[in-house]
Parts: sequence; C-alpha cells; structure tokens
Amino acid sequence: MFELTLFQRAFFACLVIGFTNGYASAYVLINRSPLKLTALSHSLLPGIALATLLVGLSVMSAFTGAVFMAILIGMFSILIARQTKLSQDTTLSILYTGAFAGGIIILNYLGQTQELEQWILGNILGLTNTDLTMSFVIGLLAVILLTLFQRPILLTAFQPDVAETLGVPVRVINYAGFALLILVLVTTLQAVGCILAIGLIVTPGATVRLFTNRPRLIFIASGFLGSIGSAMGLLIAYYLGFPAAASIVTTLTIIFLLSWSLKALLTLTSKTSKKNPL
Amino acid sequence: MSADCCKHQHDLEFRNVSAHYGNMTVLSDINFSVSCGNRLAIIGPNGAGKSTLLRILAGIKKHSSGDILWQQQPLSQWSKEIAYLPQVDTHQQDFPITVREIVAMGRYPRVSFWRKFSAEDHEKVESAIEVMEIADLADRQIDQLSGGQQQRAFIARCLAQEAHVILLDEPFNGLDAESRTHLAHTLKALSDNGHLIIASHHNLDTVTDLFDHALVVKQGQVAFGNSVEVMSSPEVSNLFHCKHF
Repeated sequence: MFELTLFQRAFFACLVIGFTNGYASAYVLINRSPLKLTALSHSLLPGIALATLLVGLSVMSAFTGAVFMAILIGMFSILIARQTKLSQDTTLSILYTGAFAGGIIILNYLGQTQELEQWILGNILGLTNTDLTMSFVIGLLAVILLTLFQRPILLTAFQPDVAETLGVPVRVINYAGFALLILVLVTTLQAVGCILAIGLIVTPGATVRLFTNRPRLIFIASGFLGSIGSAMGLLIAYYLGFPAAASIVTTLTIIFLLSWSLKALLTLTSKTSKKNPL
Repeated sequence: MSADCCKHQHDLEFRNVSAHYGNMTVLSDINFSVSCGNRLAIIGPNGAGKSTLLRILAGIKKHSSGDILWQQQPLSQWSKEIAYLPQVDTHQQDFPITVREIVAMGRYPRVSFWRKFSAEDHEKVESAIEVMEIADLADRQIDQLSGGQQQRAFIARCLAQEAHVILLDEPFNGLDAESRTHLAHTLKALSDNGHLIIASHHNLDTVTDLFDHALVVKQGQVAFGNSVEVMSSPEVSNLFHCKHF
C-alpha cells in the first residue's frame, strides 16, 4: 500500500498533525478550554469563507481570515456578555454557530461547495506537499513553543494571579496560546475539517490524563497517542473503506473509551485487593 | 522556622496611595508604614478595597497615584520579595500538580522559565517543605490535600521564593479549627523570623489574636496602628456598628 503517493502523504500527515494536535491537547486540557476551542474551530470556516470572498483562497488569506474571525467572535462574545445578563458561554455559542452558518452561505454563494465539504469534513488524501510542509513547520513551532514555555503555561493555568506576581506575562501567554491553537487548527482543518478537528485536539490529552498526573508526561504522551491514533484511524479507513477523517476521530474516541474502561477496571481491582489483601 | 529572613529592619510605606476601577475610586489616600517582622490585618466591610490593596501590593493591579516604597525604593523594583497567596479555592482543584511542584514554582523568578534547577534551588525547595512540615505530603496531588494543607504548601512556595513580604487573601476562610490554629502559629513564626505578613481578614473577633497591626479601610483609610488600639477605637466602632461584619 505504501507505493501510493497519496496514501504515503496522508500517512505522514497523520503522524505530524496527530502529534501536533495531541501535544496541543495537553495545553487545551490544562487550560480547561474545550468549549472555547469548539467555538474557535467553528469560527475558522466563516473567516476562511470571508477571506475567499474578499481576496481569493490562499494559505495566507485562509490563515488571516481565520485569525480575524476567531478574535472578532471572541471579543464580541465578551462585549455582549458584559452588557447583558447572559454568560459568555451563551454568547459564544450563539455567535460561533451564527458565524459558521454565515460561512456556509458565503461558500455556497461562491459556488465552492466541494471546498465547503472539505473545510467541514476534511480531505486528508487531498493534501499537497505544500500543505504537508506547512503542517510540519507549524507543528514543529507549536511543539517547541509549548515545551519552552511549559513552566509559565502551567503556572498561568493553575493560578494566574500568582503567575503574574512571579513575573509571568499572563496576558501574553494566554494570547500567544490562543494564536498557537488557531495555527494548529488551521493546519488540521484541511485534514479532518473544522468539526472533527476538536476530537483531534481534545481527546489525546484527556485519554492520557486518565493515567498520569505529570504535566510533562501528559504533553509528550498525548503527542504520541495523537500520532499513533491518527495513523491507526487512517489504516482502518484504508482497509475498511471508511471516510479517513471520521475514521481517525472515531479511532481516537474508541481509544479514549477503552482507556476509561481500563482505568475503571484498574481502580476496581485496586480497591478489591486493598479490601482483601490475601 | 528557618534562619532569619531579614537581617535588617525594612519598612513598607504607603504614601497617599489611591486606586480606581474606571471612574470608580476603590482606595484613596492610604498612608501607613509597617516593618518586617509584623503581621498586619487589612479589615473593612465587603467592597471596601481590601483585596484591591493586596492586589496592588502584589503588582497585579496598578495604583493610580501615590508611592509604595520598600526599603525606601519603589516596590515595583522588589517584585521577587513579594509573595501572594490568593484565597484557597481560586485555583483549579484537580490540576495535575504535586505539592513539591507547587513549592518549586517559587523558584521560577530566580531560575527563569528555561534554566534547569541548580542544587541550591532543589535545596531551597526541600528546605521550604521541611519548614512547613509537609514532607509527607510532598508527592501528593493538590486535590488530595485539605484546605489547611494546601495553605501550607502555598506558604512553602513563598519560602522557596525567598520572599520577605507575604500577602494572603482571607487565609483563614474555609479552614477547620485545627487548620486555623496551625496557620496562626505558622504566620506568627514567620513574622518572628522577620517576614512581613499582610492579610485581608474579616473576622473582627480574631484580629487582635492573630495580628499585631491593623489597617481599616473603607475606600479611604479609617484607622491604622497597633491592632488592639485600632480595634477599640471609636472610628472602627462607628464604621461597623457591631462586632461582626
């Protein structure tokens, strides 16, 4: 099967994007931000659609549009929440779903229904060498930054006020983390689409967290789990004829559920052996 | 407690300090001076500006006017000497972190965010753990500790930071009787050792037992001085009308 260039490229993309998303999922986990991330991923499509409408579709315009829309929706959700009695979760949910729907309308208007499906559901077999190079570069950058700044990241997530007194530029860390997640999501979008991308950037960290309390291990192990899980998902898709993106996310979810069952079993066994030491 | 914190007597001085949130004045013209080796309670009704004053001292909020001096120099130059403990329930309770890792965070300002810990850094961390008598808890996760044990871990972080001034936001809140007594002894021992302890506090009954100085605020400064004298002053009686608030 490896003689297929398309498949080879997709397999390599799974390893790279899976590792990057897995590594970033540890950041998402410790910041408790899956809901915000869901909003963020849904904001990317309208941003890309708007950029396509205004200047045409390119990697740069897609990234700029995605960042612009994510920031706009984030700011508006805060603004409306402050001026009303609605929580920010509520305003964020309204705005991101509205913007997502708007994005679908724009792409429909542009007659890019095929691209629309790709942005929503992904097309890992359609990745070009340029896409792959970009994923690799951004992935490398994300992993390096998340590793280099792990101390301030952990401190900021744990006690932001204390982090500030210990000299951590809390706002910079938060905004930079947000920007990094957008970058990772943009590179993931073409592979698995903006809806399934959430599974890739949340599930590995949550799975690893079931077994360890060590933050550094959560980062590294989540990276490898994301990478291996994604590659397994692609192989399953290849042999069983499933859609690749759906197969990848389903595989990661099944790994999570199996891990959760294993953990429950281990806990039960441990309790039983404590009750009956002999 | 460990060796002396301050070989010299340092003063913390507030000169006409005011602070605002937007157009709203939360503190105005605060003036007081207190030396290391003391325990100062900041008391006042809800919304009086107690937490704001602590946040200004911690460098989290900027004051609008006036000067805050430590050793006759602006406090902002001495950020490493200030340690801050927010209320116990303000952190992620199930965060994946051990007591030892929390204490090690106190070394971050000295080792930067990248450098590996030196033998001295490890020694400071272990020494802080020993001083706070939490060696048996060092490898436990934060969510496996009681409120009182968490306070001890956070104070150990202040010691690892080698901070002279320790700021605590309502440190006795939510603690059981045993933990309160333990914390009171700890704060007394720290101040005896030369640390300056500044804490917001809401229980009028215990101010004189736990603190030797008191600052009463209600946006402006109502009273400051020896805690026994402040708590029996007519200004404080008039402000609260009753013993508890």
